[in-house]
Amino acid sequence: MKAIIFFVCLVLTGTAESVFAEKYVIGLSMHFMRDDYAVKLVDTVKAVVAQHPESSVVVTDANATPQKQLADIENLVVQGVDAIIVIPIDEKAILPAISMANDRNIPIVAITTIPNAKVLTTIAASGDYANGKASGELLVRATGGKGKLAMIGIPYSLWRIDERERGFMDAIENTGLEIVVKQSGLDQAKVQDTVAGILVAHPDLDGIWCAFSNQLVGAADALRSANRKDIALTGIDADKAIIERIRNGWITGTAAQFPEQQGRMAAQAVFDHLAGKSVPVAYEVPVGLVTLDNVDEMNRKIWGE
Amino acid sequence: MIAAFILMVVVFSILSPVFFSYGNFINIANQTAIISVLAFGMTLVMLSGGIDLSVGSLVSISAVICALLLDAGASTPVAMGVSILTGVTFGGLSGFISVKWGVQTFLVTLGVLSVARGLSLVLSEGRTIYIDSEFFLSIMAQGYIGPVPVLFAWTLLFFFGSWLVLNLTTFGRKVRAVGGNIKAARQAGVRTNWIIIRVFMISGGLAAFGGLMMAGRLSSGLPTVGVGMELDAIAAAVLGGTGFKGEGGSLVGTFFGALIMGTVINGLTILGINPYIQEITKGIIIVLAVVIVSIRK
Repeated sequence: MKAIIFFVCLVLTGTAESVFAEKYVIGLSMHFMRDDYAVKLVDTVKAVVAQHPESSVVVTDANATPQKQLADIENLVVQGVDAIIVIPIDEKAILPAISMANDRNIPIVAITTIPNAKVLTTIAASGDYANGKASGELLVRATGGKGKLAMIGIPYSLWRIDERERGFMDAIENTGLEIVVKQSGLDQAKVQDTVAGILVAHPDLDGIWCAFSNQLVGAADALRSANRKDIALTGIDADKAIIERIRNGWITGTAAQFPEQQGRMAAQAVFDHLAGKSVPVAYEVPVGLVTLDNVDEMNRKIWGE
Repeated sequence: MIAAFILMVVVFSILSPVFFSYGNFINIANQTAIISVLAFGMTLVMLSGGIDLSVGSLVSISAVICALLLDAGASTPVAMGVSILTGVTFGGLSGFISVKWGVQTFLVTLGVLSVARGLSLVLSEGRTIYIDSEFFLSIMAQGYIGPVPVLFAWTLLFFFGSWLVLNLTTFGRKVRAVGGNIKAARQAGVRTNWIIIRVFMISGGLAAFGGLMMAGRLSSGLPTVGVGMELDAIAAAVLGGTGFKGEGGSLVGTFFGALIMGTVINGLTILGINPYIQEITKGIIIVLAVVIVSIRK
């Protein structure tokens, strides 16, 4: 037991930074921290905070678990941070913690909409619907507007993903495209297997749409294994693995999210508010489609490389 | 174990001025409550020589059923009763299958984990079901009894309840006897099968109650909630000195095991430690604790 205590002390003294003597402490409650989007967003917020002397940022990772994110935000509130940036994993489950922050007058900046929450501002409020629609329209163009589609969603309902699906459905409405199979999966390997199965069951498939990053990569790899470059594949997110597959022709195109831009807007909104400036209730982020034609330019724009 | 917990509190308090505050203790109490309740059930199961991997999924199915029933206009006691009964039934089923066909509880409950998770996704159609019953929310999770958050009050209630069952009833002694040496227990006339089934019913019921607490805490029934909680419950029991072959084990130890795990994560978050490092720290603490327990033996 002494060893445990010793170890804990060691970790704390080794890595703890004193964040309490500082002017502003910003909490950043991440939904998940294991993809390029999340990592870039965290890095950007940290970079903006670093430009403000005597300010610091505390990052928490909900690891895709709603109850962990609830606890994370509670901990940030008790810690007395000056503002909290939230990227929600489940928009309903974190509402009790948001209202706890409201009670203490801690401003909340939401990245994508949190319905029914009292927030200072929302970044990329309509981004999910717009991205779903743009990626759907790209699929319509790529297939010539007729044929059979597979749609990959997630196994449960999340507001953000529902919005993307709604945009996608609106885009293919009144076209000759028909959804012949709808499946779901969260991790890349599972989606790869699922799509491989779909290709066997529906050899005459014309297009596939995916709701987010891991699915696009998994679906692209399934197409590669089956050597089916004739099937159009679009979706949302532009992780580096997706950029790579667009270059190689396995993904037709994707509606990118801009973690750098979103992170910068969120952090800037926080500092503007703390400095007493007024902040708009919503920031819109325009849709950015990545296709083979503009892949290098967009890669620079999204990832700065 | 208690000394370790106090030391940890002291260390965090020195490093952070806000750690030792009423608001933060409420956070820790709320954040460890559900794991503690699951871990009490897990301790009983482990003392009887088994393991229950299904509790995380039972949390979600109970939360989903309760939210659906409340949404459909059922009264709070009915919704809660049906949810708890579901947990007890699943637990009883795991115990029954295990003793009837001599299957290891690890394997049976691994199957139940998957069935219960799938079922909660089917029942909820994957949606988050919002709960707006103020009464339910306040008695399950968001209310206070004096200065004590109701989640922690439930934890204490179940702590004393399971402590009484384990230490002051013949049932409790039989549980230990079954876990210690099942053949000897059988020869001594203990109906070992029935003991095991009942232990699993208790664990399932506690997990379902944990699901109600979770539903109250999140104001919603989520089919995705509780993933991996069985491992945290096992870790809390093991930190508290419970072994995998029914040896050692006390509910006091388990309680503090859960508190230590919750406090570590809370303290590290408050100190602004990188979340990746938090995972590593939690893992190392568990391994160290197990090593220390086995060195002592």
